Amino acid sequence: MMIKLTVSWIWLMALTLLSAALVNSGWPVERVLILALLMVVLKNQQIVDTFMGLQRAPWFWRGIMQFYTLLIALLVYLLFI
Amino acid sequence: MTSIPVSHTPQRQLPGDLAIWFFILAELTVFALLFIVFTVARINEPEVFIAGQATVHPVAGLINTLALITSSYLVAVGVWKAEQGEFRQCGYAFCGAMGVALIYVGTKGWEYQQLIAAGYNLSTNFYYTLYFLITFFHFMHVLLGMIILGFIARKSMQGQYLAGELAGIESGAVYWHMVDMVWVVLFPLVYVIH
Repeated sequence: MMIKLTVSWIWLMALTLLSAALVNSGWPVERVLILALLMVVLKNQQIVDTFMGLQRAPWFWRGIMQFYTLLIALLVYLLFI
Repeated sequence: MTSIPVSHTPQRQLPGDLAIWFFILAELTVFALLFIVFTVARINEPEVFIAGQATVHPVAGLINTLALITSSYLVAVGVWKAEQGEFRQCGYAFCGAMGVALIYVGTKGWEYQQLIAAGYNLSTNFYYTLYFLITFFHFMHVLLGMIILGFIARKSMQGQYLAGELAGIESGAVYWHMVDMVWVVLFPLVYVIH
């Protein structure tokens, strides 16, 4: 379990650094938007499953928490485009 | 005599009290509305928002994100230690999480001080209204979370939890992870997407 938590933590730190690197990438806003939102979804999926421990929880609650981030990311994307 | 078949399928259990999950859902709904308002306002007033985003500090945002993720990791480690019956270790992990969260508090305070010293406040324009409103609302959640973590750490180290009775520890932990989740969305919205 300790290894699983540590791997998740390293993965989250790496995604955060990649996300921060987008600030000065000079890429078009659409590309930055998609990549940044993709990283949000990946990070929150990790937090929900591993840190919150919802991987072992009833599907309803895990689904609601995973759906939340997907919905926010989708809404932000659709509003921007 | 007939033997009764026993199912060995592990039962899927929700960590913490059910009430904390309804509280978390309510909190997440409020933050979701704020994210949508921020995004809509960004689309309606792109110049104001791009100019505003140029005055905030992405490095401070990065430090805060790394601090909250590390703090969340330490809380998850603390819960795992509690599951093993190592409540003193759990207390140490929660203290560590509080210590790392102090980095967030210091950095955010410095960022607010810089912006206010430069003459920006709630009434400067709609960008700053939303920036201060959303990030300060989140800041208040971090402070509340730190109080909860401190309470759990103290109780753990005093041996006041019984083995197997983890609902209190888990409830505090999932609240803290929720605070982290919200910041994970806020970071790109405020600092990354220009």
